[in-house]
Amino acid sequence: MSGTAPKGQRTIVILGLPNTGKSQLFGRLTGAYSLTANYPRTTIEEKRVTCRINQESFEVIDTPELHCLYIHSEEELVVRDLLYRERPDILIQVINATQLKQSLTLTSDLLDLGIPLVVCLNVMDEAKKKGMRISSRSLEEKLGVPVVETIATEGSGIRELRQALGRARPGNCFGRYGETVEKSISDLALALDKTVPYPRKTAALLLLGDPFIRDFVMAGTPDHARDLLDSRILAERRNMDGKITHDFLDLRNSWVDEIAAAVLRKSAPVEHSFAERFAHLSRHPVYGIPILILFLALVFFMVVYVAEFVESGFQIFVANPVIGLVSKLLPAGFWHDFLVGQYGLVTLGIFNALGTVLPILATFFLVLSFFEDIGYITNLCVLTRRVFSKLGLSGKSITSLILSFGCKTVATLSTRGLTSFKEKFIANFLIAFAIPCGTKLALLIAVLGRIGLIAFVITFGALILCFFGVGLVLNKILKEDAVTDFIQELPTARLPNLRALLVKAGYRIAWFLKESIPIYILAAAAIFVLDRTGVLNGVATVFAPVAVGWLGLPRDVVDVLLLCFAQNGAGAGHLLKTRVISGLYTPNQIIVSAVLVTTFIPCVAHLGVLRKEMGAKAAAVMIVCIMLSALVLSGIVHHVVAFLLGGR
Amino acid sequence: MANIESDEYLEHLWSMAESGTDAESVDELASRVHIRFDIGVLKLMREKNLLELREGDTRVAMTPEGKEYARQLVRQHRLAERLIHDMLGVKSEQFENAACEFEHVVAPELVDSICILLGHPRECPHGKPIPRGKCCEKNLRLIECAPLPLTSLKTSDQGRVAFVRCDRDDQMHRLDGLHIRPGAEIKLHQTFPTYVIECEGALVALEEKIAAQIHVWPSGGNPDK
Repeated sequence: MSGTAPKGQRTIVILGLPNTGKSQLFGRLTGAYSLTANYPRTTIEEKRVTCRINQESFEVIDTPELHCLYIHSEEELVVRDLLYRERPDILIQVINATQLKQSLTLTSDLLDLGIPLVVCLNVMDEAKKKGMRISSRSLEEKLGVPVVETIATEGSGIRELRQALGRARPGNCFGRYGETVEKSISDLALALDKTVPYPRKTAALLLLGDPFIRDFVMAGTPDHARDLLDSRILAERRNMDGKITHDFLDLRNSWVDEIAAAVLRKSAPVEHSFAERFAHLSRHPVYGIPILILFLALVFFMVVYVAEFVESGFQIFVANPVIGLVSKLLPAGFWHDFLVGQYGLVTLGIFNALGTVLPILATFFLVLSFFEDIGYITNLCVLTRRVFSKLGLSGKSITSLILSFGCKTVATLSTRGLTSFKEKFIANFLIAFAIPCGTKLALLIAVLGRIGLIAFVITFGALILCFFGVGLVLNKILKEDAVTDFIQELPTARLPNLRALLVKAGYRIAWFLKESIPIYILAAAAIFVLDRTGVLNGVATVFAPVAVGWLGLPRDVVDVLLLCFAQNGAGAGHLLKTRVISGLYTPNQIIVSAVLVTTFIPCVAHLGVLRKEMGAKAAAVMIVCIMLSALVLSGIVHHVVAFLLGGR
Repeated sequence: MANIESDEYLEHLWSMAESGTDAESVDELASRVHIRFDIGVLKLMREKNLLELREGDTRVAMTPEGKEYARQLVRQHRLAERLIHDMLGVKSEQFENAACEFEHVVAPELVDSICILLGHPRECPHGKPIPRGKCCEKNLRLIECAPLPLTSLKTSDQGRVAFVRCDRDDQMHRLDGLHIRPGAEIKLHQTFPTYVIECEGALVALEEKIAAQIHVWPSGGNPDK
């Protein structure tokens, strides 16, 4: 019955509320690393691993957040679809022990499905600190399913969890609605097509008016039965006149309260930890701003100075000897240029990736991981939400924007959950246009850092201005459609754990190497071919009036732009190495090229996702607008800077 | 306490004591109850420690617990009468029946709010005294105890959610999933630039519009101040 797993192999699905440690638990259980962070929605697509547990081969699936089976967002829909499509054999619900009641809401829904369940009380250490004592034994009695206490970050309780999987079973029914409602549910459940899973729960969701379940059920219903079923649902809903929503919530809430009262003991509130006080300050309208500036300064310092130090080491100890060696072995000519020439595979491909981009990225990822793990990112959302709402961005899109400082492709994927087309368009436009992705950002900081803080301030000033300008304009001209509410749970503030930080940064670097090195080499080869065949020169000639006349850049800047198209970091890295370090560009040209590189064109991977999420037409409109505005903006920056710096 | 019968017996025992007739006579009680009198109910109530039976089950006396419970019931009943009579304008005998129904469905925490809403009335429409509640002793004014939108609370104020006004079902499910729902204890941490509340151990950030939909009974507000 399971979708992709071979016959006979059972599936385990890990699910739970946001930020409860699902991915960490997944990693501990399967040995596979899954990127985690201390903010909700780190996992946006399901992740599968096959592994052996208790001498049996299982497919284990890690999922995004799920609050309850009544769906609020597309990410949650991913999880519910998974439950419906694959009908997993065992569920593991991860509960953040500090937020027991919220999790029990989901538990009630899961019990209703009748799938064998194991409940995992995670973050027990923090619950203890908060003065909460939870009796897992009485919880186990109440729910009728195994309950295991774990601390996933430390890996404790995982052995018990493995054993508990053998005891997984469908739990106690969580309760019954009033007589009329029960009758409606069972009548409707009988009327559903035999292929629809979990008939009782499905019928209840249909009656509750869940917007997504209807489509699912209809898709699995034969054509001739659809109208009948539809009118039936309508009639039952009208019959109950909204009563079911209240009935349903009341029943669930009293069940949750009863269980929480039986298993939870709270002692006097403990004093707030340092991390909590700090988190509070970091979202405070007054203290939050110096903290933000301090953190930005930290990023700047790390990326410019620390990375520069590493990079110059690489240049002296690796790059120069290798180039020297190749030059000795190969006489000047085609093969020499092919390997270590201006567009050589080794110089532009491998050294650009390893020597220039990697040290910068490594430090940047380390700092980013630090921000994530202390829970700073979400607090930053809280601090800046009002500003963003002026741009037509509410709620979830802010997280997407912040994600785009990591990787734009991921950020665009995460806008899938936005219901408003307008908001989605604005968010994606800004992501594609004005925000440099992590790789670019880090490199830009490094590029600009070479000529001092003033260049950094000018460039990012220009980017921020155009970010708000574009946002305001789009918000004005696009038609309002659906509203998205800002309701966001905040992660628990934690002190960072050095080991976890290093592991995470290491994972991201490994990901970068795996994904990017081939692209760097391919791009280098492509540019080499373009250069040799004279195409590069041709493009440069066509582009020359714009580049030289309007932007004040040398005509050969096209290679940087072409590389950007291949991979965000490649172009910026090339810019840094061949133009900035070597002192070829004036400060004005560095600033203009930095702005241009950020805004001009999204990389291939991002374009692909953009087309998928927005549709080909909207994406094409967006890209044309972006390229034109980028040229206009960069030109303006050139002229303003020329005026300010007096042509230096 | 689904025991409507025992509730009625207690209420009658209370009014017998009030009217000055023989307050401990089981026969008198039997003549007052509307439904068929059943001595078994009294015995069950004795097991719950609500009353004592004496002299071969002919005499009955409420325990302190029973008295307190009866007081609450009578208070609920008479406040319900006042509410239906004064505010809803039902003047016929029907209001009596409506009040009977009403007292069984109203949550205890709502009683004080109704009392405040009516301005702490002293007597029911029949002229019988309404037992006083804590709210009357403190003579709470409307402003201090009526449900307020979250937006009119100050930072670090605490309260209990009275009701949540939602425009859409999905909003209600979302807030309910976070346990922001009637009865939940919440604490306001921050109001600007975004509302941040603590609810059941979790911090939740909300935009102002949503915060305005959540109405709470502020707690810890000292009426003397």
